[in-house]
Amino acid sequence: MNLDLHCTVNGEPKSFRIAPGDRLSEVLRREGYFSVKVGCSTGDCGTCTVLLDGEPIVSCLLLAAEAEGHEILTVEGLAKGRELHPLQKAFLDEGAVQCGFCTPAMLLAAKALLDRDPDPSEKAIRRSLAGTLCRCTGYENPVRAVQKAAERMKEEAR
Amino acid sequence: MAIRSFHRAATPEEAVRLLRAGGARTFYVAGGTDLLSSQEPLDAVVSVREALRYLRREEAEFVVGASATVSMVEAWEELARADGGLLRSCARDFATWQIRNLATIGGNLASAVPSADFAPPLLVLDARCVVQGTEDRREVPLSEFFAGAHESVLGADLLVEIRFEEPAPRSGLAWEKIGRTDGDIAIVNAAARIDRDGKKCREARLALGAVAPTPFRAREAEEFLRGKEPDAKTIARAAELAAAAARPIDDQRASAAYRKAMGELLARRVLAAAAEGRGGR
Repeated sequence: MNLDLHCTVNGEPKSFRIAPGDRLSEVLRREGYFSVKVGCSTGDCGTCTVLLDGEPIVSCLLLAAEAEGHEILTVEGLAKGRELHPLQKAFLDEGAVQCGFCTPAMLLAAKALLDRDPDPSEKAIRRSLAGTLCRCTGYENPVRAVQKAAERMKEEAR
Repeated sequence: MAIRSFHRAATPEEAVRLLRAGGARTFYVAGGTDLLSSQEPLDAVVSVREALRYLRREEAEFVVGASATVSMVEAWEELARADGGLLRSCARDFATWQIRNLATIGGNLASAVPSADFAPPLLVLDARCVVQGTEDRREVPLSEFFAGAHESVLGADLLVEIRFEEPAPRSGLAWEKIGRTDGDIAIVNAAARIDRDGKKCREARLALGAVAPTPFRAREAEEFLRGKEPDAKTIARAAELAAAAARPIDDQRASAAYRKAMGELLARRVLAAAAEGRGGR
């Protein structure tokens, strides 16, 4: 018994044909949002993170049907045209991207953090990234990248 | 995952009807974090995610809709002022941000895992569960809600909301958890509440989790503390009584012996913190 899902992805209204048991992570990848990674499908690795109404969630643990009427943001929606988001630039500048598999999740969690708290403590940054497993960077460079992005965004806002 | 049909219930009554109309493997889904981390095929799910997603204050009572998320409870200022941050500190120790935004208080209780983090603090708050059946609604004290590991008194009925009274202004409340890492499933968790009468304990409440088939109130320890001054020695004895009531198991996270020892340690810590009138950690 398939159903139609109506939701907003990266600001665009969308309609997807889904199965009742489809996870949101599966639907997003099927529809071409390949920034959403699937590492474990048990909510442990965090690489399928998307923002649902501005809040980071693991999209593998949400039935796609539950996204009806909600707003989803993936990394495809972060950049404005060819202009990267300050977080994306800072991740590049600080060498915070190694294999890149967890990078989209880290970017989105960091965005959700900075949207709430433009001047987060290092502890708050570490806490926001803790839901994403990274086996390359040791988290040091991503933490620095979020700090740098926060500084630049504050300067831009001035 | 394989699910034959998805239903969204607008009311608890509708949810109960839909569940009974479904096949043998039909489940309520709130946050979905437990249900979706298993891979077993299901007949149907009945979503109460939107219908029960609320927090309310009703006179002296706090009301937590079963689908209120861990993050919602963490952010509830009015509650944090009233319970000394007890439930907020429990929420902060719970899994990851991405999970806290999905996982619900009702799901944490209804899954009835021995390590359910919200059980000990809600047990010391004397929380009651509002349960919807086919005909009527009833209240079950949380202390009578768990029937065994992964078993509650719900059957096919629905946990609608959790209610508890605002603790007295001078109640001391405390929460502690030991896990392998921050946010991991508890090896042991514990909460305490002490209402003082001058220097003495007018009433003490102590609850432990992950050291028995269900989270439980350590009644002997509570009884022992009543009317006594909660000094270090008295608290140590009460913690021993609590640990004696534990029935832990060995699993991949910890041995039974370690659980028992840590249960005693956490009992001591939460009682000491509650005796000092501190809030959550």
